[in-house]
Amino acid sequence: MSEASATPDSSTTSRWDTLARAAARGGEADEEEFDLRQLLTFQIDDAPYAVPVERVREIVRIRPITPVPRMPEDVRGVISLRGEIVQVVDLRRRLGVEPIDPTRSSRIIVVHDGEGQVAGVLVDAVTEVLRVPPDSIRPSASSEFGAVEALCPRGEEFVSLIDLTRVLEIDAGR
Amino acid sequence: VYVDSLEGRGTTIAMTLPITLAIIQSLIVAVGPQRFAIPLNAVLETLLIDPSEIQRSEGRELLNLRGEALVLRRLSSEFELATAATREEKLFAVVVGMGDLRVGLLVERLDGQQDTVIKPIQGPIQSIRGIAGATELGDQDPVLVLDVSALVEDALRRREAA
Repeated sequence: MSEASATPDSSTTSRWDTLARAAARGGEADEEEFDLRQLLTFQIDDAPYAVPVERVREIVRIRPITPVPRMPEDVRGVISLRGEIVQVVDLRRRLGVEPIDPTRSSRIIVVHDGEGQVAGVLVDAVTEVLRVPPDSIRPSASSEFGAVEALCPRGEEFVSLIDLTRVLEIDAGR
Repeated sequence: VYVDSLEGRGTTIAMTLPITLAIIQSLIVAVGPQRFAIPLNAVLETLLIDPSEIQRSEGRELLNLRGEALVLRRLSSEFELATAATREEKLFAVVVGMGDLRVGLLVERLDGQQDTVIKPIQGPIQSIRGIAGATELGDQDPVLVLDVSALVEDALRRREAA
């Protein structure tokens, strides 16, 4: 990857900085936001999804993904994060959506489980950090793939909260 | 880390590094666009072979290596890799060994030797047969490191089964 191709325009950079800072702060919200849950929202096609911000370690731009033989199709391959080698799960496949080649707006959300396990999750675009009262998050009726654990209203639409544990439980035997 | 100090003699500091942090020399090979690293300590020799030299026996491919039958494994079929090469093109056989066992891994290109640091692959899939880990070559480009002992074992176990 050349430096030039990785250079975004400055407006997107500051937006990512804001997101990254929000992610780094994790669950420790300001006092007035004490009761609010923070969700990192992103898109798959035009549908909004989210993961809890405290599970997000970082968000990285798309970079070379090396395919790994003998891995289930849902794992797109591995990336290098400052020398750390991390598997990237294609969320489109996990959600049963037709996979596409990553675009300029694609991002890899690096999530952790709090016990040192990390994984990359490939999404179409990252949008914002949403602050919502915990009681606005409602468990969802069982979805086809069991990947969505709850729904949260944002204006007129609903954001689907991803069950990361479920999404990252991939059957190695395909 | 182990420190041994003798007055007037000096100090010995010994540090034991796990394999995942040790720098080892690897041979970089390629099939189509994908590169792999083979730890050099497992490589005995490399040969440029013509497909006409490859003999077949019970579905296996063999090479007469100075009078010995060397079992060949195509990395492309082993790992279901897309390959642009036709069966007529010359190939490289990387002869790898584990103890007395020898297997020739067939690849399309040799891309030289590199210092590599083998890192574990983190993520939902805990282990992949035949892959020992990965290393970063150049800028953000992960290259998989082959687990030679697993590949040799698989190749020869299939031979016994055949």
